[in-house]
Amino acid sequence: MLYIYGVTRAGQKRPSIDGLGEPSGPVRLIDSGPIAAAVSEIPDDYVVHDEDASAHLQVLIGLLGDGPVLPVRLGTVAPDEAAVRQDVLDAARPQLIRGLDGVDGFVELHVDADDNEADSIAAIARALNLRPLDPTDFAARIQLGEEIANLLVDYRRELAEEMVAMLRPLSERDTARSSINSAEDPLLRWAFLVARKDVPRFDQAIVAVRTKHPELSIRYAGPLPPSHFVDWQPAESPSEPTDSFQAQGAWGWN
Amino acid sequence: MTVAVQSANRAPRPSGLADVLDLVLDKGIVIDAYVRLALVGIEILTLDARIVIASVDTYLRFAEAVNRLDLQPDQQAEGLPGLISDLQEGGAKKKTKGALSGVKDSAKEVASSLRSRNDDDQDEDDDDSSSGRRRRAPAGRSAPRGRRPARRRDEDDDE
Repeated sequence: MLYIYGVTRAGQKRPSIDGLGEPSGPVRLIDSGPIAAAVSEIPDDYVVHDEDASAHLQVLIGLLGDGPVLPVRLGTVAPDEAAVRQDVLDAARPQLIRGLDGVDGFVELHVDADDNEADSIAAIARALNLRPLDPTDFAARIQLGEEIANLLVDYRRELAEEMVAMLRPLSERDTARSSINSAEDPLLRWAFLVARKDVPRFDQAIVAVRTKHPELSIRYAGPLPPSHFVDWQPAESPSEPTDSFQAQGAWGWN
Repeated sequence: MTVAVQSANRAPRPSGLADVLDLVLDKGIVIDAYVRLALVGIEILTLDARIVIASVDTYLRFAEAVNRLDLQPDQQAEGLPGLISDLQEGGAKKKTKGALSGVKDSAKEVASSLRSRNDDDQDEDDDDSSSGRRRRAPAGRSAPRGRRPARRRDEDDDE
């Protein structure tokens, strides 16, 4: 059986690494016309585990080095090469080409930030000029905690907005990977779609953000496949929803 | 470059499993024609967006944190600055809001006071959280990781 990692342009260099699975096989490209699928052999009864997500991503990153790549979801398999050509590549060729064109020259970068919760709470408490509560007053403690939580959320949102505002001008698109709805949510989890040539400038912007906010722990990763930005709708076809729609509609995007 | 500046420190890939799963688990092309292989051992955390429930546990934890602070009444001047007394009066919703609207302004103050600090213990926390998973919260980090992000932040409006 063939495990499918992603779709690239035909002739793109394949990453010289093994794919996932036990035993694993080398990653290779199956072409059909201008596009290709990156696959590797996998045992028929293979069950995907946590660690395979990492191997899957590694293959995508490898492909990304040489051109655009559209990620295929974890755990997708096809019985053989003919199936990959017909059912995967040929069945959605125009959309795939459009998708590749759409992300050609772009990479995804992740920026994550966290504050030190204890420090933030302390700062909020000091700004409020709070005094210790009677520890036996349960209701008052809950209310105080709730207000602290609300302020923490406000504080984090403000910081997140400020950071995104610093980085957004250097990106083509961006999206939240997680939002701040409660005090349990992280300060910033964001994905940016950035032109490859602009990555050094984005690096510089990250340095600026770090310098401006030494109190935050900021993590920065990439270039990654554009997983958060592959969201084009599959086809224009369903203008006339005929019976054949079901037959063709084996495709979806997210 | 002779001056050692802070570097961008770009990692080639996310460090935490949750972030890796976020990239490959439910994003990208879906080919419904083929049954996906069974996925085993993948945390439910990443499979489903969970409803955010602001828990009482969290509130108590925060209140606890405040109480642990060495809050000296150094500006004890006009007694309590409203907040606690308002809270204790009950029906606090509105009053609290009022008391806290002044706090909105102090968010900047908070930010700057934090900025001027450099905590040594921050790194430990970071490692903890870089897994993308919960830190100390007992009641569930519920960021809808891996799902279509909720676009309710103000800044998204102008896109």
